[in-house]
Amino acid sequence: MSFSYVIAWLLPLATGVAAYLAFDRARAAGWRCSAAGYGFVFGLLLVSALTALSARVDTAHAWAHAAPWLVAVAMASIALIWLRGKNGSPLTQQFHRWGKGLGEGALSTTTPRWQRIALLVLLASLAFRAAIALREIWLRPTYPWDAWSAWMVKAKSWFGLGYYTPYVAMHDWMAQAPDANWYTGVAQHYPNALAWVEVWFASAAGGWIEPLINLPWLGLWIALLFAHYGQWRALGLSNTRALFFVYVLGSLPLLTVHAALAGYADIWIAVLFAFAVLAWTRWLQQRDIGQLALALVCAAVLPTIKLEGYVWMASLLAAIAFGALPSRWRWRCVILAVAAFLALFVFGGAKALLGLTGHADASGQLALVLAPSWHGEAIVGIGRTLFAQPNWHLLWWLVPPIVIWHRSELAARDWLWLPGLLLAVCIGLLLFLFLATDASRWAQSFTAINRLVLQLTPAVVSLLALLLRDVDFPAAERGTDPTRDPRSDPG
Amino acid sequence: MIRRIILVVVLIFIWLAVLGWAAGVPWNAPIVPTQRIALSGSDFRAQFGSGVPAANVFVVSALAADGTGLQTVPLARVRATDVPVLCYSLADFPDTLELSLVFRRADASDDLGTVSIPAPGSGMACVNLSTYADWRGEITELGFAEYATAQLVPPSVAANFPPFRIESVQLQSPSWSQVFARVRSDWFGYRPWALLSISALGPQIFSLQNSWMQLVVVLGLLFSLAATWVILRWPRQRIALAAVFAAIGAWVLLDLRWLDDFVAKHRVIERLYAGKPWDERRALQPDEDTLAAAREVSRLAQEQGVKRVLVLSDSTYTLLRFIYFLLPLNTAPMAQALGETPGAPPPRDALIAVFGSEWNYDKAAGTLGNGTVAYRVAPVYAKGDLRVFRARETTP
Repeated sequence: MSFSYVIAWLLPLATGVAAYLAFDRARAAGWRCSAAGYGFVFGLLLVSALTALSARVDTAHAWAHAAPWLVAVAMASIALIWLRGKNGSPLTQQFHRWGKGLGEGALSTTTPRWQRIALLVLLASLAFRAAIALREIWLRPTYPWDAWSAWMVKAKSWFGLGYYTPYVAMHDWMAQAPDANWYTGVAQHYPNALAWVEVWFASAAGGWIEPLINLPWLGLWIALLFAHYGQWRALGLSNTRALFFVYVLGSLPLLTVHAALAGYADIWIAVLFAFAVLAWTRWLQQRDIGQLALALVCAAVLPTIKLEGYVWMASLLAAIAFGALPSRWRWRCVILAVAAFLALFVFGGAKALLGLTGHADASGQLALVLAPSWHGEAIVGIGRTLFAQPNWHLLWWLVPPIVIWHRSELAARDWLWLPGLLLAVCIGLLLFLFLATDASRWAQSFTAINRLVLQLTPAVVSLLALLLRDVDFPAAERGTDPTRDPRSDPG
Repeated sequence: MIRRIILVVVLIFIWLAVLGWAAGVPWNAPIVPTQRIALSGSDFRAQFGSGVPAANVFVVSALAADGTGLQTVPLARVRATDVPVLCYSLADFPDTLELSLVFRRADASDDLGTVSIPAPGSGMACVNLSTYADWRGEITELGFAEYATAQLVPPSVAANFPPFRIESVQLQSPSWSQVFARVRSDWFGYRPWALLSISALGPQIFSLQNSWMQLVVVLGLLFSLAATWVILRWPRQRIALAAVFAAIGAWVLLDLRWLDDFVAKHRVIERLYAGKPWDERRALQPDEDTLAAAREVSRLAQEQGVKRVLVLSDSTYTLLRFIYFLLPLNTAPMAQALGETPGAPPPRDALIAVFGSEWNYDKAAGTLGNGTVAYRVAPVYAKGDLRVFRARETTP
């Protein structure tokens, strides 16, 4: 492994952490882990944007072109933290504290011995599966279908050519001028963000070495767990409980598969959607404006990863706006939104509107949702994939009883029921897709359904973790966590 | 005390019932099979590939040149519905190979029925064939077929394996004695990585309906908790605590099973790729022939000085893999590209690479077509499944 490849990992991480800390003003419990998790993902997103901007004419040395810009972003972020430090804790102190260790105090001495041992075993099992995933990625050429048919195609051609070239529709490709050098493919309309991340790592690795290009997928899985631990701590979970839910999240088989069989974009969507929900929840709970900004950034980035990111972004932004409304307006908005949805997608309004505006033929990608029809047979596929197959352990069996069990608490706190409502709407949209459109075949063939469910799953685990944060179980853990931020639960 | 004894009896009954349901054992089935057809390994004979009978076993040592092995044994007209449970023991079966059950029915003696079955692992594996639609009528021949695990193992690697042994095979009528062997095969049998694994774990073997451990564990726990609540009259808080413990325990149990599966899946990857440099690993593709063909086309494109390649294949998998291997050459799937530009001929500056396709070249007319459309082309290269053409000026 070359020096440049090591730098290609460390530089985005450092820049991302600095950028996160520039947003995150309050140093709540778990902030180091949040910074590491969000920082890694933000670093890769910055890599994508800066590589796309600076390396189009020389993709073979993309990392060398983008790295100075990344350093500049890191310096700007540090300057912002320093300026803020004048009014709060000094910059050096903040970084010193961050450097003291990400897992510091993770298992306090107040935790009963048996729980500590059990948790260590569970967390060791996460390390074990991470090691297997690492070997899996390290050893083999890119394996899963969409990775080599869609997500790596642009990156491989740009890197192999040594420069960027546009991907166009096939009829344009057929008709192009001899010197145009346009490319095409079955996924030419997919967003480019991941392709630029792959170009960055390929250029740092010095060749199209697939294991080295796919390795960030494992980093993403680890970042997901770190960020969730940090945010759950900040939201009031005890060390023990936060670590237990880290195990719950990390043990979900299909999530691990998306790290081990690297190359799909769904885990990126899952990470960003979950990060947005967590940051928004912190805004709702603690009114930390930096967290609201984080939520908005994560939401805004979603469409640059994958096309369904538009739907999740719209859902998130609508939820954030809904949460900001005065109570008296909220129900009116719900009625309006439901009526608009029914009019547009159930009663054919969207199709009619497109027809009226002369865009009837532009409805290709929306065709699925523009002509809804009931597909009850998909229920069997949905049921099997969520409740029988070994994709999610017991997660979907546990969600309904836990929500019902804690319904009164859920209803009592904005920072619980608003994210809960968002997830319910998102799940409702998935049910609409699979039960009321031709996408039902993807539920019956067990294909897209799980990958779309995956995109919401970490956020669903967060909701369960927050609902169970104060449950008196077992007896030895009764009482309030002494390390909990007194501001963490305004409700 | 009596209540506790009753509870233990009820719990045993509950778990036997859910396991029996999972294994597909009818409630009125006997404890041991009433019908059993036992075959010794030495009864088998190699139809494809190499193997020799030895004391009570059949030793398979090599696949045929086409990458397939087949060993069969004739049967004296066995009624399929009488003996739907297949139990088999194969020692040292390599995890780079996929195993299929092959059978011939009296009413379709020209056809062989084939169904993928789990690799046996250690001991006896049992599968229930009653849910497989073709398992009917009278069976006159039975056997096993082996080949490189599809879309995972390079055939060149799969062809080299230490000999494995067919030890024993039994066809049985349903009985309660099969319950544990059945669920063991369903839940703990080796399932290789498949392209579907990124979307769902488990349903790789579509043709055989298998039971799901998760569902059985949940149902067993729910009934057990309900029985405990009713019989021991536990207060609600205590039963809730028991439910929490049960849920955590079940989660960990399912996770251990998943880790076991994950390790088994990964073991094959270690066997295939560990200890080899990247240049060697890169060439070890499950579709080595596609990679070789793509390299040939890249060479031809360079030779001919063309920058664009239209790719044609009847298999979507092969088509997209071919395109990926050809990058950074400027490629497009031919059928889709021409479909989006009706009436337009293939661009003259492009090669047309046809790999594994039914499209035919009509030498007399000088066209490449599929019966519906035809394009004027000039042949450039042909070897095996790969044919390469260049578009000519006009289209008929």
